[in-house]
Amino acid sequence: MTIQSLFKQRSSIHFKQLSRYMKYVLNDHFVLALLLILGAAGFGYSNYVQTIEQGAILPRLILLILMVGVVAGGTITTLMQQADIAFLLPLESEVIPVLKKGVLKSLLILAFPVAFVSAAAMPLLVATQGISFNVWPLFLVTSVLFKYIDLNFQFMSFFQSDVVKRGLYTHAGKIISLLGFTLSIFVELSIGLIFSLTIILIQFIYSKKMNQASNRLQWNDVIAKEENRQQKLYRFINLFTEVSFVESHPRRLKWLDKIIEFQSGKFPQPHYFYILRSFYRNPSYSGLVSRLVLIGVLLISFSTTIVLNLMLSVLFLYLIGFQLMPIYQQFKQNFYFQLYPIQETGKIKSIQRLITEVLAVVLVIFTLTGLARDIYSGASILLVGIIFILLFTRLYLPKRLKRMEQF
Amino acid sequence: MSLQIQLVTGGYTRRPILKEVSFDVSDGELVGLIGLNGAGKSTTIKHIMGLLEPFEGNITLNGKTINEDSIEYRKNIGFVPETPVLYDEMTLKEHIEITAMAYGIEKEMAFKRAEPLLSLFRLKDRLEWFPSDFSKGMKQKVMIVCAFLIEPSLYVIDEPFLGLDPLAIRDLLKLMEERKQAGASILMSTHVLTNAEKICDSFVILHDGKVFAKGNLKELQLEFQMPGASLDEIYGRLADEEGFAV
Repeated sequence: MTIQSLFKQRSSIHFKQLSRYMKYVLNDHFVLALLLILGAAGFGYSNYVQTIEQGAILPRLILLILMVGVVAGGTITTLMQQADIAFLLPLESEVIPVLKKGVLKSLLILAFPVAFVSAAAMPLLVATQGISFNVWPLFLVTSVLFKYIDLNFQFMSFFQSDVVKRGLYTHAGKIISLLGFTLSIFVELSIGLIFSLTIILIQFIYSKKMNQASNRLQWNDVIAKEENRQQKLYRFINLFTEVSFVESHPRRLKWLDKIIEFQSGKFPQPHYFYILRSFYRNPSYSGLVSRLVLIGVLLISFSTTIVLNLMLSVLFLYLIGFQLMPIYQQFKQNFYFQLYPIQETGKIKSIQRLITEVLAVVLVIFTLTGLARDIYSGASILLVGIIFILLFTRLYLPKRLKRMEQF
Repeated sequence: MSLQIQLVTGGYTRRPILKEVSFDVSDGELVGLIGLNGAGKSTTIKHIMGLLEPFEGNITLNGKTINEDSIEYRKNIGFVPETPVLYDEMTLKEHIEITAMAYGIEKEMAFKRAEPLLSLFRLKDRLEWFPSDFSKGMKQKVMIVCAFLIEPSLYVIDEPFLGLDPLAIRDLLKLMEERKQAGASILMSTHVLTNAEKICDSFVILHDGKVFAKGNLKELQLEFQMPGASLDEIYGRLADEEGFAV
């Protein structure tokens, strides 16, 4: 056994597992919904681009945020594990090159979303800068280089023992890419490219120097970051299928206490009492709903016809309701609900109630978004939404949950 | 002199958890690291393992700091963590192999050393099993086997008794005694004071990140004017008087 073979084995297990889960993620529902959203977004986007004039500032600001966002996403896949602290410490000097290789491997994967967004950005750049589509490779290379810079900084952060410095290195790539994309988007693409190449050169010289200083690997930090990365991934997959190793780190969110208490009522059922708190305090549920609501509101306000409006609002109500269903697993994970002297039916009822309430609030938000355009949009969204919520929570949901129970 | 900790101030963030901690563990000495939850025992151990860097002060093993030669430094420490951490996708046998690889021990040699340990802890016929399916106590035994087959000059053992059956506790105590006789130094943190009293040569009592008292039982009895008292009694008195319990 060598350290290389060990990590090779880990990576093959990791990717095998991911590809198995991917089958569930890319199920028919999701692919259909994704196509619909992409279609609607593309349609809205192309309409929007036509209204943009050369030199417009606001669209480019949005683009800047998007580009920095996509470059900031994604960390180095190190595949380090807790047990490494107990077993591999003396092999630090052999582990480091493996991690270094991880930078390039991660870039290979993370370059795809960057490439996709940079391609999607081109119409906007063409419209605002008055350039031709042929210069896309320039922008693509610049964008991928910024991701590379970001990963390099992340790698350097692995060696910082001081927390503040470590945080600085972890996030330096985002700041650099913000500066760089500002040059690319607001000044000229080639200047952004020159900027990125300069930074890479500086990084290269600096990292050579750092090697000689023999900084030591911060094992705990590297492992915590890897766990964090995997948890994010698995939490996403967990929206589609049950993943056994999802740990959630609930947050207290004190400001929500009043709402939770109000929603609980005076004599809540134990199931509802628990599931309500799980929903609000577990970012994988409440965060998901807020993200979907935000995207839904944006798409609805950008879409031009009532029919599209209706389709989008029902689609997003469905997505939110559907993605919330796995919250049912909370009961399985909680040992106490097998001990409490309470009726089993409370489980399904509590989920029904929670999802109904969440969807009702979402519907109000969508209706208000529709009303901002005209009264017909608002009224029709409200009406169709109510019918959908009733059908979804009364007919579809209990059946689905019962089926989940069997697995 | 094996392990020397001199005026170490350190912690996870910039806020120090440990404040000017100093103590030594000599060759052939077993030192008990005692303290309530949150007193700084595990933080001290992380500093010794080189997982955290002291803000001030330094730690030497056989006269060298980790910065002088990190590989040599680490090869000389066998570590049993507080909670067993094992690889999900490896068998017990492979755990022994990876330990051998990491510490530069010949494979045959590693298994030769592991054999008596495995039979002592009744793990011999489980070599092909996944330790991640074991009970907590059996996982702990795997950690102990892996740390002891290194035969390092310093053992760092973090709360080893929880989850072990009485037989295993007895065997572990015997094992530590043997290694001590052979000249190894051992630093053990524990809450189980009766066990600590039985085998430790001296104690370091940590409180709030500082060394509150250190010495052997006699010295502690003398210092706190409690002749004939057990470690449990001394510690209880200390805790009450100093308001540790609050």
